[in-house]
Amino acid sequence: MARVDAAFDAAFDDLRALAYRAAYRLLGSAADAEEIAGETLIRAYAQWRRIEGHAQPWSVTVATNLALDRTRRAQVARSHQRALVQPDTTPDPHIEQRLDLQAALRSLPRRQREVVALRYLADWSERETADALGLEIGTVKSHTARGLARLRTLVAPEA
Amino acid sequence: MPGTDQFRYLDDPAGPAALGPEDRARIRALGRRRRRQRQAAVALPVLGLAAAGVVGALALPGGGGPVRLTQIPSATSSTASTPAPTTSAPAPTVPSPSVGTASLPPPSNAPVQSAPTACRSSGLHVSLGPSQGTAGSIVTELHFTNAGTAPCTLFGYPGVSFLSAAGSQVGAPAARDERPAATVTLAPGATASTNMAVAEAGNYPPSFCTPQTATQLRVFPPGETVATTVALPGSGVQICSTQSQGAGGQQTHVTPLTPLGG
Repeated sequence: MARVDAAFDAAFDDLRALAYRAAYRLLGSAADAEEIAGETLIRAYAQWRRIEGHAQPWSVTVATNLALDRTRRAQVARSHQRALVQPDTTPDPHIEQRLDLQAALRSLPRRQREVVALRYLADWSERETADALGLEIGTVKSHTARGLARLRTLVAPEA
Repeated sequence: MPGTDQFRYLDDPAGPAALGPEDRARIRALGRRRRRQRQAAVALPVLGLAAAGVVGALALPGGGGPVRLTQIPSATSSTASTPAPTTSAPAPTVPSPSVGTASLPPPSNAPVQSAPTACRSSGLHVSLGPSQGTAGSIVTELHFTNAGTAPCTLFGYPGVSFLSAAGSQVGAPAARDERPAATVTLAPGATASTNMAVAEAGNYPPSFCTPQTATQLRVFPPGETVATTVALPGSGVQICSTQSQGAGGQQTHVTPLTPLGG
């Protein structure tokens, strides 16, 4: 157990930063990103032996899915119940881009979503992404291209 | 090169808040519990409730009861006025439907209609309830109100620590006052309560305690990793920022959550 704790502790800050960043890019909320990063770390520790060799891409993927899941639930809750929601005090200037990014990721099959999350939410290179997921670099390129096409139709990035 | 860095403008310029060793320990503890629950869930889902080391067959005190202060060294009696428990319920292995303001889902394999899930930090309003000052220590209620639109559940202890005005932790986080816990189901607007007992720094000899002013509480709802801060009334409370080990033990205690007034 001590070895697991040491390994988890050593990876803690890195994994938390990866999960936080992926969730924040999608949701634009520090509170939500904190919560998702915490949940990602809890899950990581709970099954550390299983994920240890690939904890970084695993954390990005889990945080991405938690964030997408949260937006889905939030949308359902909103459509049922509008009145009690307090308006946000500061509007998110990039809300459109985040919603587009969410929609694009949600529309992708699992493997493509992982590739796109690592490339666009964690800013990993094609080589890093390929190594992390155990894919050929050509596969990463093609997944990225297809994911990118989807993103291009939806997202208008700012300068 | 499109792709990498393209969405950097969507980042949080501040980044995640700094975490202390307490937060890390908390995440590990929750992960450990999750692992046990997962293992237990395969065999018998009900056993998940026992994971927090809860013992059954004892009466549950209600929200208004005082907290046991046996570990706090104090020249004065710490039991002071003791209002009778407002509720008492047997604590069987399966949570009784009477503990909450909404009924729990049927335990059989009848179709379950949207069983309430655990309350999240974002859906709870945390506030201070009434407090009783006894000489040298304070017993105060901490209230957790369901601010959402659906019922949710709380089980066990909140994580509580004191913060200075600058936001740094003062003293050790609250210890758990070992008692039986039961799942509390909160209907929207309903409140659960915990009792927190604090021994003020004045109780301790200077060699044992360096007093520091705490002006707010950091509160983690059970099972959550996102904290809420609650301002303390007045100019705050004097807390021992350092304690020599083994010389009187924990300064702050919390009890398991129970329904307020119910």
